[in-house]
Amino acid sequence: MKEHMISQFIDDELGLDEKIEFVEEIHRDEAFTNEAREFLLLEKTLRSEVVEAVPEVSVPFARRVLFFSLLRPVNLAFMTMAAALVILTAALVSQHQETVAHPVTSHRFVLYEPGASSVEIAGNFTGWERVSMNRVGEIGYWELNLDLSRGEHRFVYLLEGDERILDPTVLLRERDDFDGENSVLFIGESA
Amino acid sequence: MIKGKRSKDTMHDLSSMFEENRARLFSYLMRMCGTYELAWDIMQETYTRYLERYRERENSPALLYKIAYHAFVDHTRRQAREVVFEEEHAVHEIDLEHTLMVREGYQSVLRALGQLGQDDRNLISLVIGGDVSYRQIADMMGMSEANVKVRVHRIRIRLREILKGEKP
Repeated sequence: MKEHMISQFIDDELGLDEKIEFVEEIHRDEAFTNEAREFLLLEKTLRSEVVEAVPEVSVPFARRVLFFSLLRPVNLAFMTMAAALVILTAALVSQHQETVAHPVTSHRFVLYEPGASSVEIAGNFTGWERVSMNRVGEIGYWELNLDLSRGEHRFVYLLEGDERILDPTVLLRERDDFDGENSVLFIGESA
Repeated sequence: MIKGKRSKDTMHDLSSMFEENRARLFSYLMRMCGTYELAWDIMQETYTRYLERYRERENSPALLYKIAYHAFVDHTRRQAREVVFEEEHAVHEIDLEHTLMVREGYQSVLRALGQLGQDDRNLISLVIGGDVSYRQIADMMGMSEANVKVRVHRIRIRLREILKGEKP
């Protein structure tokens, strides 16, 4: 039974000796040749494109955030151009369920940790690099102002270098790509 | 250093692997599920499971397909239990919305694949996706490679018969 060699040929599963055998069989047996051709044509149908468009997936790291830090409005003309670009980009990416970020706004992160000797913050807006927070006097508060684009942001505080702390004022939390949870902050129009 | 940072390169590689395989994995799932909506759900589930359970392993398309198949099987088992309580027409309405997403001419292939048993459909869908070898399929499905060789061709013969029968 050499028929299954046709499938092996189609699937690139023939060894060299089997290839020799296959070629010789094709040369010797016209019915086998026709059979092979028929299965190859069938395979073209089976392997053709299935759908018109492949959907995006929303796994945590697949969410792409586009930053437009260069689009800070410096004059009216630039503002108009920036707005047009943002609208155009939003229209282009909305069908893919991506998060579109907008021009930046300053956001103040505040955490009450009187016992800590060091507090850092790491988030998508820092490229997940740690940034030290500033102690506010001796009252136990830590703060940091950061420029954030409008849209969703994920972050976590780090105490003493390694203890992860979620922001108690941010209710939305999400399991991250790694081993824990992150706070999810939404910066909207009015922020 | 936070764990997230330590794994950043791994996650980047995994993200690339997901993106590179997205179209082919979706085609595989369409062949398995027959409907756009379900294939989409299971692709999401597959990536989520990969992230949650296997992200520290070597990136492997074969593992991706294995997870996808198990997610599909889990779904069909769950559906078998729940179907009694569901309004069947509601499910069909969702399917109809996405029917137009299937390329013209491929509907007949999906119908033909739908006539195969679940294992045969999985086997041929993996093979025609072209991403996994007979050896990997044999491991995945707990059968010998020799058995895969024979069975793949039998399924193609069966598909040829079904598709010939469909032609006017």
